[in-house]
Amino acid sequence: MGGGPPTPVLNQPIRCFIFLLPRWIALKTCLVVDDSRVIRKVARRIIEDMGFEVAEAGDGVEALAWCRAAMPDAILLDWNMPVMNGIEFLDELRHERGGDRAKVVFCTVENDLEHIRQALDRGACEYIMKPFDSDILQSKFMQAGLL
Amino acid sequence: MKADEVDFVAEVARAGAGLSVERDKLYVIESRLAPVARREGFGSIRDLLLAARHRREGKLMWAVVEAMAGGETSFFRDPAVFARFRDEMLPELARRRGDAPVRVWSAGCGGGQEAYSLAFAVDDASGPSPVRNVDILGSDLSERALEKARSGLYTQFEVQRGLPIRTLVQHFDKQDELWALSARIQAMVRWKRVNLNADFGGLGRFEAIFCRNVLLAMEPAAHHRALQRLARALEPGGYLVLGMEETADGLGDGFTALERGVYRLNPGYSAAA
Repeated sequence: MGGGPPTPVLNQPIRCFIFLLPRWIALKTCLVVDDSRVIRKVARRIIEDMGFEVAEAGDGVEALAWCRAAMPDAILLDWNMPVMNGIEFLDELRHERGGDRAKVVFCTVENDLEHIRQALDRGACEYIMKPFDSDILQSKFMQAGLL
Repeated sequence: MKADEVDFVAEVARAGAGLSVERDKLYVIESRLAPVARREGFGSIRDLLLAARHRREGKLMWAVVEAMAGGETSFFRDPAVFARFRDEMLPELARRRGDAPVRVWSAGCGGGQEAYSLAFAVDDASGPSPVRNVDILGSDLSERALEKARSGLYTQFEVQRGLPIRTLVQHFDKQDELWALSARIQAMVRWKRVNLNADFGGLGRFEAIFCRNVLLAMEPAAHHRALQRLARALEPGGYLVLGMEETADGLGDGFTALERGVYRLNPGYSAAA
C-alpha cells in the first residue's frame, strides 16, 4: 500500500512533504489510486517522468484521506477496489471541499461504453482502459489538460 | 541479417518509394520484415528475401517496400495542429471556396487515423456557420493500410493514443475486442492508393495537404521531388502541414512558414514549377 495521510509514505518523508506543500510552491501533484501495488509502481514512474509529485492509495477510503489532507491536481483512479470502489470514491470526492478541482482520469480493466459513459457522467475527465503504457498515459493527461 | 540482405532491402525500398533505410538499425528492419515473412508463409526473413530476390516477384518486393514505409501513427498526433485546422484554416478556406467543397488531403495516412482526425475536426467545428462542405482524401502507398482505414476498426491500444475519450464515446461502438468507427464519419473520407515517390498529378488540387512524418523517411532527392509535387497539388495560398520535425525549406521561397510544421504556398510558385 502506498499509504494515506494517517500513515503517509513513511519511507519517503521528503516526497510526502512536497506533496503537502502549498499549491503555489509545489510541483503538480497526482494521486494514484489502485489496489495493485505493481500498477501503482508503474504509473508512479511514468507520472513522475511527466513532472508530477506522486502519492499512492490502495483504495477509495485511503484516497479520500489523502484528498482531505491535500487535494491533488490529478487523480489516476482504478474502478474495482476493495473498501470503496472508484465510482463511489468519485461521488464522495465531489462533496469534499475543493473536490471539483482535481482532474480525475479513470484507469481500469472495464472497457465497455457503459462504464466509460458512467465515469464521464460522474465527472471523470478522461478514461484509460488497461493495459496502458507511457504514451497512453501521457496522451490522456494531455487530453485532460494536465500537461 | 547479412549485409547483402540489408542492402537489398534498402535498394528495394529506395526504388519503390524513395525511402531511406538506415542500414545500422537492424532491429527496425527485422521487426518490420518478420510479420511479412510470417504472413507470406516463409520460415524466416532470409527465406522471404531470397524468394523476393531470385523470383523478382512483384508482390513480395512490394510487401517489403510497404513494411519499410510503415511508421507510427495515432489519432490527433500533435493536437494543436488539428485545433488550428478546425478553428483557423477551415473557416478561411471555406470563405475562399464559396459554395465549393474545401479539399483536404491526408497523404501517407497509414491506417487512417490522421484522415479521420481531420473528419472529427470538421464534425467538431462550431460557431454560427460551421464548415461542413469538406472533401477529405486519405492516401497511402500500402493497400493493406488502406484496407484498415476503410474498415474503420481499431484496437483498444490504437483508440487510446491521441483520441479524447468523449470522441471515442461519440463516434465509436465496441465490436468484440475492436472499436468500430461510425458510418457517418467513415463516409466523410474517401481513400486512394498513392505513392508519393511517383507522379500524382491526376489527383487534382487541394486547399490543404497534411503529409506528416512521411517525407522524413525518404532519401533527400526523393524527399525534394515529393515536396515539389505536393506544392503543385496545392492551390495558391494553400496549406502544407508537415510533422513537427519536418520543414519545407528545400523549396526555397515556395512556402512561407507560419509555425512549426505549418506552411502556406506562396502565390506564383505553382506557375513557376
